[in-house]
Amino acid sequence: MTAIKIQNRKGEKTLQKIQAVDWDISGASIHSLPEIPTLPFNLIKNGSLSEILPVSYRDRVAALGITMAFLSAILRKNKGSIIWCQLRDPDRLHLHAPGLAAFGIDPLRITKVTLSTEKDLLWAMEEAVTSNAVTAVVGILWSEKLYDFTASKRLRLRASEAGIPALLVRSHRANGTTAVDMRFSVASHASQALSTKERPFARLGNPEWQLNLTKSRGIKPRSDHVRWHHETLRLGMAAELGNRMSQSPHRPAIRLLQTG
Amino acid sequence: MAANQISKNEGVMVGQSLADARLLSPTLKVADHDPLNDGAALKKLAHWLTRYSPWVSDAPPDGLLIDMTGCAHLFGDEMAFAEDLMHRLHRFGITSRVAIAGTIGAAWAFCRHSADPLTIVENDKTALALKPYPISALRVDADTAARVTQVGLKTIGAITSKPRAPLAARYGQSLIACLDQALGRKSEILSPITPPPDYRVSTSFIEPIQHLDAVEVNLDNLCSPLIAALEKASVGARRFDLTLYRVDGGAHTVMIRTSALTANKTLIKRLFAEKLKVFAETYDVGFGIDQLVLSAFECERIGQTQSNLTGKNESDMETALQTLLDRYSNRFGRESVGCFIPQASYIPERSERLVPVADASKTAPNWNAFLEQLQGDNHLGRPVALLPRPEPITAIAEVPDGPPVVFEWRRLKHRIVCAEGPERIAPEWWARPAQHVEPTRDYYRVEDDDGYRYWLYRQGLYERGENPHWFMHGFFA
Repeated sequence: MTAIKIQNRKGEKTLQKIQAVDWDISGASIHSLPEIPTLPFNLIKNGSLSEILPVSYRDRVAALGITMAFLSAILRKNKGSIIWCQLRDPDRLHLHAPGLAAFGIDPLRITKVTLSTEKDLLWAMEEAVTSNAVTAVVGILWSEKLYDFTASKRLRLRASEAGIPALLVRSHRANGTTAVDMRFSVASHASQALSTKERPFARLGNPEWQLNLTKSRGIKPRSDHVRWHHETLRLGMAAELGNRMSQSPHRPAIRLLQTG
Repeated sequence: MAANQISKNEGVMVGQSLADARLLSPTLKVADHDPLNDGAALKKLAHWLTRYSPWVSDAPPDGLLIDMTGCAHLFGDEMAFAEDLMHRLHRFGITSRVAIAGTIGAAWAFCRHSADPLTIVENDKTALALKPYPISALRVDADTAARVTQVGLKTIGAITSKPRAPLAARYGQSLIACLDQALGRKSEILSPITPPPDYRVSTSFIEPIQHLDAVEVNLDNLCSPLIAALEKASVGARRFDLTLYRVDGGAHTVMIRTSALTANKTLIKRLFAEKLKVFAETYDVGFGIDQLVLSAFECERIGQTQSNLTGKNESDMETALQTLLDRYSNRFGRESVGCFIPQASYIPERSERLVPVADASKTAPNWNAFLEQLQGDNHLGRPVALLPRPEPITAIAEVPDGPPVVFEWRRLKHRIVCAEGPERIAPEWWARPAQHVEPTRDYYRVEDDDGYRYWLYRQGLYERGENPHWFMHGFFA
């Protein structure tokens, strides 16, 4: 008797839930809010080696951005810190810690290891992966000579044994076969500019990238237009805005004063 | 300045003219006096002497001081100690005179003025033994010694019995001070060239070892007693030095540092093994290594860590991370492993600092509070990547104090579609050098028609009549 009751209640609850969801969706459709779908594939798996390549030289920062987006997701899910390996090169871009706030990353959780040779960098990455001490390992290789199939295979095997994701940012000129789990190429994409009539320039929108999955085990290569949402700290598919102003309509009185 | 024994036998003296000396000894070899290199060689020898005692100091121009308290029994007795030392120095081709005495002053006197190259004087006989020595054996300057001798007080014994006050009045306080130091009435400090370690273990080889691989094997034998000593005292150390003493008089130290107090044998051995591998690339073993000393520095009490009931330690990951960072620091240098620390400054390039993990403070800095102070609620104002230094660009703006419409950077033209700003960052008056005043910067976040986002600034303000220049500073993702 009681069992049936409980079941009934359960049934009621699920029904309510469905209704609630229904209502939500209907609510959304009434206001025709743009839907933000999440990415359909699980991007960075534990114990995998991923390469991130910019499409062109100018897209290097986009590659860094997508790396940060990945790291942000990893750090939100796990405790622990990240080892960031970079070659000592005075002319290259510096990681700017205050800028990490935009990706919701606490700079204290990143330990930067600066190395003088590529050999040391690969060694440091391998050791970090096997140490059971970190959440993820990132290597920045803007120029490479030693990194090849063997090196990548070593790194991938180590990563899969330890179950830690390893990310490697390479140069746009990088070529040759490597044994990675996933390879992305990233290009910047014009953001959804928020233009208003009061301003001569539009405001900057959220960063958007064209994220191409060029190699992967088990997933077909694909190309997505993605957007980083600063508000929710999530990478989502970029969707077109509805045909409406993003801000409240301007006040004609002030406008008149300005023109007059 | 100096002559060796063989030439002295032929009649050469210090202070003779070179022509006379050449006449006496036609095969004489002459070298210029080089005090700088002499000092360096003396220092090197002093380092090597640390094999006898950790408390060693060099006394230029020609002396070396060892505090051998408690060291003699390791060689048998004082005589054996001194003979071993003289024998080794003789093998390097160094003529030595050794004196062992209760005070630095007495040892100095016996060493330089005794007839015998090896003098050992017991503590209670120091005053008696010093009596026949000349005044110049007291480390007083030549002028004072000459003045004292002139009046007939030729030996130390002659002035010890004289009243002190007239002596001090006539020849200065330094004479009395030197006398007191030699007799042990006044203290004298021997400051060692390297700080003495807290714990020290050494091993020596009958046959010198030629390969660093053998050093690594012997490290195991050294580690065990050192760790045992550390554990017995329940202390951990932050720094370990492995000193390799070469047969031909040279000492090299391989140092490892750990960020936390440790008495973990496997960790220490691993760190040393990695360091030695790097060290081996440049190190010259020479004729071999005949002694190894492992010492522990910066020792402090370590507490016990308690593991929880599941048997897995909560701080396992943290310990592993520390080990990893220690290994990086020892292999690539402390400066190579850094974490980002906020620095109280509004100037973007100065607002962060990469400090070595080993030097980072124990209390974690609060980035959130700092960023809030830096840019308020908005956390999008700073780019993810900065150029090492701002690069000048040419920009065309619609209005003088507005964002640029077009700018050229590295010979590429960029047309700006979106812009936000300006964010005005004025130079800090408190950090401003007197002659070089940085102009105020107006920062703009801009996006060009290809979707690349930049952080530009205009240096200088139109309303102040300055001549503004545009710079590229960073990139938004």
